[in-house]
Amino acid sequence: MKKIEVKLHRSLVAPLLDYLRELSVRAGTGGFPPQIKDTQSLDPEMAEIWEDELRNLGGDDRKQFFSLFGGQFIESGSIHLDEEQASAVLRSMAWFRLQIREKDLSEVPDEILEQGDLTLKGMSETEQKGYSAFVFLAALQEIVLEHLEPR
Amino acid sequence: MESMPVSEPETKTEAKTALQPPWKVIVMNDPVNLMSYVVLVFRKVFGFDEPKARKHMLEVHEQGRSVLWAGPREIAENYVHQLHQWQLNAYLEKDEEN
Repeated sequence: MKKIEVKLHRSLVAPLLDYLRELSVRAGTGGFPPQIKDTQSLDPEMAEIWEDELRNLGGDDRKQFFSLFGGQFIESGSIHLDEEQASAVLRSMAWFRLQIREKDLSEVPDEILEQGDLTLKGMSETEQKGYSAFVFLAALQEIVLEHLEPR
Repeated sequence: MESMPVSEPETKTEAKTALQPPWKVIVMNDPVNLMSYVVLVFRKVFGFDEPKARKHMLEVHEQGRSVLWAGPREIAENYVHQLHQWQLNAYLEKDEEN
């Protein structure tokens, strides 16, 4: 099984992890992806069951993500993940990025966010943290995607 | 008195297959998810090869949406559910054209 190792700068990543932990609490326990504003196309009973499933899966995915930053990361700054974990970690990073967009970067126009044409200057502290985490997660997602074969 | 001939009511049985209209699985663009991520999700969920997944991803990116699949509602719902698990903005729509 293929394993991915990524070496990170601990002192830069640690505050982003604190921000992401705090964001997890702030985002609450909604199940559907945040960009979905209505679920009318779904059967209402089914939508409730799905939301529960999504909530549970999302919680498990985030646990997998935070488990990457355990003892080995604290010691050496490196994180390791195998192909089995990769799906959960990728999903959780997508969730975090969507939540950052929704909660802390909602004022940024879509095109600017998509092109990454943002500067930290003039942003509030929360926005700065949010954008730094947003960029960090995108870079990490790209590394994982590059080394992962879909199954 | 001669009675009017009574004609037997004509019964016509027509077999009709109640075909449900197909349902479309649609993915909408969002400014957050990476293109390479969306390609991977399409490959994983629908089993598309790389070029097909990429074609749909570009359709989402350039036209704002792409129809990924059409067919019975139950299967379409399952696909939408999987896409939600991967944090994509997906929904179901009745395929009125077919």
